[in-house]
Amino acid sequence: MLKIEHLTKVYGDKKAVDDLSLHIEPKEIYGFIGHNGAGKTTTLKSVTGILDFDEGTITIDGINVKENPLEAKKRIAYIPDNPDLYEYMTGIQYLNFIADVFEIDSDTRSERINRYAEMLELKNDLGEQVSSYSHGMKQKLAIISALIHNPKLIIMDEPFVGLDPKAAFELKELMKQMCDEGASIFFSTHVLDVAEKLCDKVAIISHGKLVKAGTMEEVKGDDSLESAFLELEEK
Amino acid sequence: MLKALIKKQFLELKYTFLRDKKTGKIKTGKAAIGFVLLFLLVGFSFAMMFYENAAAFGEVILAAHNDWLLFALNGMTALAAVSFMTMFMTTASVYSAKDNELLLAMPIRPSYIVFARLLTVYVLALAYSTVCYGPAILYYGLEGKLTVLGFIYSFIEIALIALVGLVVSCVLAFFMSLLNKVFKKRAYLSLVFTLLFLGVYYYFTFNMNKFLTALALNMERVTKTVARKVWIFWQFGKAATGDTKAFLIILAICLAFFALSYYIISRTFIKSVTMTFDTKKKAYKEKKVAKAGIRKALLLKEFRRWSTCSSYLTNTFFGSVLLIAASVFLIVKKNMVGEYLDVILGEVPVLKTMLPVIIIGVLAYMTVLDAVSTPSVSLEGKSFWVLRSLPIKTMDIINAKRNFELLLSSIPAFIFTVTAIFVFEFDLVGTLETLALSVILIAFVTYFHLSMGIRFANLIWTSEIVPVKQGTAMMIVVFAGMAIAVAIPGIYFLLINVLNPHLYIAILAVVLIAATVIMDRWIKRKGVEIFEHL
Repeated sequence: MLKIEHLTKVYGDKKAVDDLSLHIEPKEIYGFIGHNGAGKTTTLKSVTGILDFDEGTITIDGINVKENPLEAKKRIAYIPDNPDLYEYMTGIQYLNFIADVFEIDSDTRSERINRYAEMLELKNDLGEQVSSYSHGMKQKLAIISALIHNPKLIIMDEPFVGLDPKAAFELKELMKQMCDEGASIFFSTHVLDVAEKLCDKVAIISHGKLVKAGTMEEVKGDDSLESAFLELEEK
Repeated sequence: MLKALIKKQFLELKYTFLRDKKTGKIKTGKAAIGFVLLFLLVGFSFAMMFYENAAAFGEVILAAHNDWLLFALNGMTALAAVSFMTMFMTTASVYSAKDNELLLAMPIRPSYIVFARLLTVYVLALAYSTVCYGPAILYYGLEGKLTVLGFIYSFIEIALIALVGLVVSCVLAFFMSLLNKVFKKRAYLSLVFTLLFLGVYYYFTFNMNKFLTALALNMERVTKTVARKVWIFWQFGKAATGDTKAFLIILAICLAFFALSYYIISRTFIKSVTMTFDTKKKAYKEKKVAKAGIRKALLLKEFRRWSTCSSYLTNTFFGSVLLIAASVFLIVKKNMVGEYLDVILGEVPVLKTMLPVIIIGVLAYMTVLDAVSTPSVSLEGKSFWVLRSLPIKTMDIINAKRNFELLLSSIPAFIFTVTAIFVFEFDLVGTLETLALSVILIAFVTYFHLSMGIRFANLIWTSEIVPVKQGTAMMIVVFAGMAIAVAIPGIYFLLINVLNPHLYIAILAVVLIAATVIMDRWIKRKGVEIFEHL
């Protein structure tokens, strides 16, 4: 579903991501962990086409992100770590805007908005301005907008930050459900317990370089993911 | 503690005025001097305006030997101006300050917080008061009537106007913050306030001669009315002419008024800033929404952005409002306009050939003010990732910004052009030329606005005011736009003896079309590239 080959992104004279390669198969939940400034967000933004990169190729469902960005973007959804949404719209106006961009018909969008908004307990607030939302509510809205077009690949940057326990639980369930239905999820997180329980595969990035990647067992061995991560970080 | 609070407030003031918008650092050296000079220049321009008013009224008033009335009238004007001009700063720095909760959580007396905050607003009020009231003292002095006592008292009155103006602005700011909490459509509220203010300003400006005549004819009645009904301004005026008793009365009243107000503001401060209203949450009712295409969705997004941001709305809709107002004026006062025009054309017949060009010049002046698409690029700000992560062509995003401005500006422009054609009774050729040129002009202005918006786009800002009012793009658009608006009739006026009006209109149309095509090409090539790498 997602192939990152030799990705390199340079800011000035600093390599934010250095020759990174990753493959994510359909129906996989892939965790991406690393310290602050390791290059996680840069990688995720490069995959979504928000950020131009210097070297390497990224393909989504066989479509090259650089050569055919529109087709690639039709297959993905992105949820950033700090969802700066359109504060001048109401929640429902924002969702309809996203649905219009993805050309979702009236009945389908209505059914999906209802389903996800009820699940994340945001339905009653959809008529309010986004500017009045808390961080967690904005995060929920970003999640609903990401799922509205049934994407094949969902990219999430720290998706659990700001969510209340119930919403975090619902999101985890939703992630599993999306994967069961055929989607892949690639997400970054600092919450290693969640990554350990949720992910099929995990990749650890440090100073822009991929340190280790593979199935959860391959990466952590007999240790906890936290121990394995700290050990790899120290090397 | 109070000293620390005052220091913090002045640091904030310095940061607000002297911070470089791009680097975030405080301007020093030449940049700081340049800013201060610019500030002084703006102050001087306003002072000149107030001096002219003081001189116009002063001539009538001094002739009738009612000197105190000059200061009374100028004092009233200055008080109103200071109160209004400081209102927004008082709202921002007293009632809606971001650090209110932070400070209230610390063991600080609310009266200290209020004092430190009011002090910085007072400094600004003092500057405004000097600009508004100082010219009246200067005029009186130049007329050779200012006594030593009058000089001292009137200068102290500048400080008193600032003090009372500060209290009035606190009251206005309190209601403003209340309205902001209660009223959801704040953008429209700001637009209404601004239009009201401008309406009052233009009403007085246009009727100045009428007021002066009325004042000269009814001097005795006006004097008695002011002395009886606004007694305090009678004392105020007398103090400025050197009356010690009146000065002491005014000084005591102003200080007592401020002390009482300060006491009330301090006592109610916590309640005022933490007050919330039980504004009922708008229950979401599901509605069937018809699917819109990408272009329509983007256009709607632009409209929502524009209509919900008060600074964006008020700064880019003024030209359209003026065009509509001018159209209504032309229709209502058709006969009067016709009579004036006959007189002018009787004296300068050559102006008749200039009418279509003048109309286009006026149209250009009004439409350059409404640079809707210029800040729209920078206003994407932190939300820019939304558009970049969605499957939308960059040209569709840019075209939505262009089309929104075209939609917004073309309707009032069309109404104004058609009204002018009707009122000035253009012949068929003149009608066609004016209509065609107005369409070309609107396209040119829109492309100019959009090009500048893309070329000088800046997504990093903390307040929407920066892209809407203070950005490089807006500066260029406003000044270059005004130059273009003046150049259109100006060049023709210079060449009036050597150039046929139809030829000039044809040349103008070709130049504008060529410039529009060049900008269109630039946007499609370079503009898209810049936009994608913002």
